[in-house]
Amino acid sequence: MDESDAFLVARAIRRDREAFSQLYDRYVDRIYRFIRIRVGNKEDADDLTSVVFFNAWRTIDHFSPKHDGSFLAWLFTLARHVVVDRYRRDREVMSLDAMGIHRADEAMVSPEDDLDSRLTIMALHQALRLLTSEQRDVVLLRFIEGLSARQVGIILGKQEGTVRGMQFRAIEAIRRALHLVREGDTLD
Amino acid sequence: MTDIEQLFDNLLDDVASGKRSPEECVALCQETYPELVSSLKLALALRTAIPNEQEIEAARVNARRKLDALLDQDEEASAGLQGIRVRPSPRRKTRWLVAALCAAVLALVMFGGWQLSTATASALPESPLYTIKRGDENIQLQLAWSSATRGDVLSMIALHRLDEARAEAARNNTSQALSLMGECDAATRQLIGLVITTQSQRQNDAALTRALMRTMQAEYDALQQERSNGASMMVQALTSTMTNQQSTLNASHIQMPPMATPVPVTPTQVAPPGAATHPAATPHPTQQPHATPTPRPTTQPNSKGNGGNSNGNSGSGNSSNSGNGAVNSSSSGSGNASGSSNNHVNSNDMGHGK
Repeated sequence: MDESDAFLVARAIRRDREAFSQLYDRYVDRIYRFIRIRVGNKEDADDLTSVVFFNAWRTIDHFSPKHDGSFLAWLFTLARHVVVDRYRRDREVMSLDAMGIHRADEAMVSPEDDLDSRLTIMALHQALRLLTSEQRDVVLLRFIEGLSARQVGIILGKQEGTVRGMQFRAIEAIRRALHLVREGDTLD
Repeated sequence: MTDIEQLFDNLLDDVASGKRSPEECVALCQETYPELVSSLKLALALRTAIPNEQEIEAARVNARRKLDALLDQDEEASAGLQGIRVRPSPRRKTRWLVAALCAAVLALVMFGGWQLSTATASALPESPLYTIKRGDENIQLQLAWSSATRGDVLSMIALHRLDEARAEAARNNTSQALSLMGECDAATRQLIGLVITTQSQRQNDAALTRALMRTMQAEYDALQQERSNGASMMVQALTSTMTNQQSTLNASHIQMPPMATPVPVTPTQVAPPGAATHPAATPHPTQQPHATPTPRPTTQPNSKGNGGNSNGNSGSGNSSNSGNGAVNSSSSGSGNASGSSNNHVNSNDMGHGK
């Protein structure tokens, strides 16, 4: 773990809010991006990001070297659980959302979103929805977040070799999914 | 992994480590696996799929505001973040409910079991609960694998029978009382047998000896009480039982430690537990030999150091008892009150007759 991360985590375990605040500043962007692409909605992403850090504050004394000493990897694990939990709770809403890519797109794109954001985040979000849960996590963590195969394995509870084997199939899957999404956009 | 998967993985590592640029990787890919190019390009391009800076900045502020609200709320609730709690989810609530229900049922069962156990403990043969009591004893005896545990169970059974016999005697149910005394004696004899076996095998018999002492002490106490109650039948039964048990112990050279509590005695009574009366009985290491009676200054408040009798005639004939502190009905020495003036012998002095 980064020396300063270790120092800040140690202080945060002693309930030093200022230290935790520094950890927040350091990693909030990446956690937000991970969640944002998964949920496809800015407001939800804001909410869930704050929940991830709140859970991290509550359970920071459970942070263990199992996460390869990476506080970020641990945060991704928490983020993954928070997103899964939200999907589970909002299953009915999500199933309505999943009825059609374009309906979901309309609901998610707010007027202030610029064109680039809509093309990348929205398309990616929609394409990710067509992947299996594992493929989605591999794409997000390995390619979008740029974590190592070992770190992704730790977060997903899989062997590094398994992740390396999965990543090619995952990228192929997202490529096909993006193609489908673009076809849908063109048809519109 | 297949070749193409391996190449893909290697190229990703190369880019991550800075060994090759993304453009170099794509060029290499076009030469070897052209079909991999689009996937590799996508993999490398995904890093750029980030929300715009304005959105990130807004999210940073919004999430921070919400987080601070959560932390403040939590801080207020737990006074200094010592016991942070989040509102339990419905599923967690259900789990708590189930756990509480299970605990309540368990407590009810345990309370019921305790009540049943209490009720059966005092059950007499004519009680419907008596069968349960005896069944429980049998189970405990069957489950007692070690000799120490078996000794404890036998002691418990003997004491149960003794209590029951006394209760039946108090209700003038003589035949039942005598029958129960017989069972008490049988259990005690089993215990004695266990002690004999253990000692002969030179095993640790401390726990067994304690169990036997406890049993015989209880019999002795019962004898005293029945005597004071004037229950001649029980006195006779207990005297007979204890005398026989004592004889068995003496014949087997069983060493009994001194008693821990004072036992009221009078002349013409059986010896209390630990008072070996048989001449051949192996004396306790701290005991004085029978043949060399010595004064017992600590047991005679008025003895003024003149030994085991009140008239200063130390050791003039009560040699069978003065050494081990026991007062025995057979100890009628010449010119000696032989305990008539010391109705209370401190059991702690037994075997320490200096």
